[in-house]
Amino acid sequence: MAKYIIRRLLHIIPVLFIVSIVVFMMLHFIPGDPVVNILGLGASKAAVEATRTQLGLDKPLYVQYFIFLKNALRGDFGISIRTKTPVIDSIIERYPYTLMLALGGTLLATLVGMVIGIVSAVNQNKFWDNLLMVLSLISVSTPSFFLALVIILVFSLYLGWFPSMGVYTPKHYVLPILALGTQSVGLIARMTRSAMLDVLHQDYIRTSRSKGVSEHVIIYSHALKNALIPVLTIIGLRFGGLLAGSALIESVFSIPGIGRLMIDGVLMRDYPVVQATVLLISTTFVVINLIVDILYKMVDPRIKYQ
Amino acid sequence: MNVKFLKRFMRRKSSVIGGIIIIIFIFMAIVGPYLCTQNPLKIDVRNKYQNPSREHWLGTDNLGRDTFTRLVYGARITLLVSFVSVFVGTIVGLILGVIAGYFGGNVDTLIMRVTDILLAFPGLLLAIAIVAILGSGIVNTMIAIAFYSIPYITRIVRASVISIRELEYIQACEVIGCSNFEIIFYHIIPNSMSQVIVNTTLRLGTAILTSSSLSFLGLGVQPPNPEWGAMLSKAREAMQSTPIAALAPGIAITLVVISFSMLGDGLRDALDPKLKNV
Repeated sequence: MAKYIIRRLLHIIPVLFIVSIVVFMMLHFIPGDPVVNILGLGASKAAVEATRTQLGLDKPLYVQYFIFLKNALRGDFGISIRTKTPVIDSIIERYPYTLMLALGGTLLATLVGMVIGIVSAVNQNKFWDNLLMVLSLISVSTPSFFLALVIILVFSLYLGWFPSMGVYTPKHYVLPILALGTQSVGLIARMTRSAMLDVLHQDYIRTSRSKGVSEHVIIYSHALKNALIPVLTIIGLRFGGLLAGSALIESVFSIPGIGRLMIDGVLMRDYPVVQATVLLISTTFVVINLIVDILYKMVDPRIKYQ
Repeated sequence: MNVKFLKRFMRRKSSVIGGIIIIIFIFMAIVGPYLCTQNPLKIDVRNKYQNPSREHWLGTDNLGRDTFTRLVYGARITLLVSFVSVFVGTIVGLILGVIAGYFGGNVDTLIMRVTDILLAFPGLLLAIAIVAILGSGIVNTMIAIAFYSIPYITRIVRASVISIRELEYIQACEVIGCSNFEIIFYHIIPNSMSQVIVNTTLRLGTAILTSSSLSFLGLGVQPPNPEWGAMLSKAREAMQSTPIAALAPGIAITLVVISFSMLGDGLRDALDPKLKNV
């Protein structure tokens, strides 16, 4: 097991390495002179040269990359062009909000989605299955920002049950997590249903039934365990999706997370902020998928590392 | 496309409904603007955030523009962005997938590693990163979404090409001296087409979700263009007094995305009955 984990860890190093190159190159892919892009066309020559030196853009590209990588590994992503404060400070302050939303959304989606998937699979092609699958389709197809507005309208403006802005108490997290997680509920429900159906049609399930094993044991202990693998993959992928999708929810609920930080960075052409947030979200995503891969191995000892 | 296919497709009611809704929206996008009597860009601030009336069927927005007219014109932009971007993404994905799957070896490894890297950026993040590089606007939104669709299509096509390549009749073609070109264009691509069509249809829904998300965040199609996501973003400030201004574009997005999904599922079952219930 330890050997497997080490090999998987070694496997993600090149991926992260290339992700970092892509993020570093972002600034250089932008048409035109990066410094003029940052300062605007009206900037004085002296200011342009000063910024160029400050950002290290006067050095050769590979030197710039190694400086970027060295600093990034130490958590130094430079100074925000807009606020003139270190980017890492904003990230440390804001990342917990986004992580909280993404974790809450994933947890909600996993619990509700799996229950819906199991109920649907057990009642295949019956009323409950059809109803739940229609609801899942609607949940997958509704944009999270639209759902966010609708639930604010209902639960905050009309009913007054939950606050609609900021994050001060646990109650403030309810609506954002609901808005963020609902889309994934449908995805996980559909995945669980089809994985369960695949397993329920296998020979060993028929054998268990003919032996007289109770339906409860068949569903929860035989079928669900084997259906978990494809479901785990989608949960890992969804977590990454929710980290990025959190930008939309943060913007609707005025939550100061890193999604909002990234979007403001893009809008204000604050490139150090954009680079840092993109790198952080994609690194988290890669690491989560690594954890999921390791979990596979724990859930299913048949899986071999290739 | 034969009678059998049509029969199988028609049997599934939800797919037929999805197809009809899509056709209605396409019709609305093409013909709608000629039938509208109002200008989607005409500002009338005195009549901002009106609720539905005979003159304004779905009320007005923050600048007093008619929501219904904007919704109709918005169908044009929303559908155009998704069709163009998914079409470009599919063509590039198809080419890369065929090259990777057919020729294998180092080219395959290289292409697959690149898709792995693109997939290391979760969903929307890749689109946001591309817009950060290129800037906002309709064309850049299309490029971002096309780019973001490429790795998915590439992987699907590659898998399908690999499975077809191993079939006996392809080996027979090789034996009688068909060129790679003939094998690819007359045998491999036509046989992967059903997979491509199904996945392209399903991706159209995702493309609409992504492009409206970008516009909602202010990174996609820019005002005053009536894109649905951008309309929703503006309308949220009057959510309590005029909810219809936000509900209308939101429901339109959801409806189109659901319809593409139902249509895609139906096409999958009809084109490839083996995949049913998978």
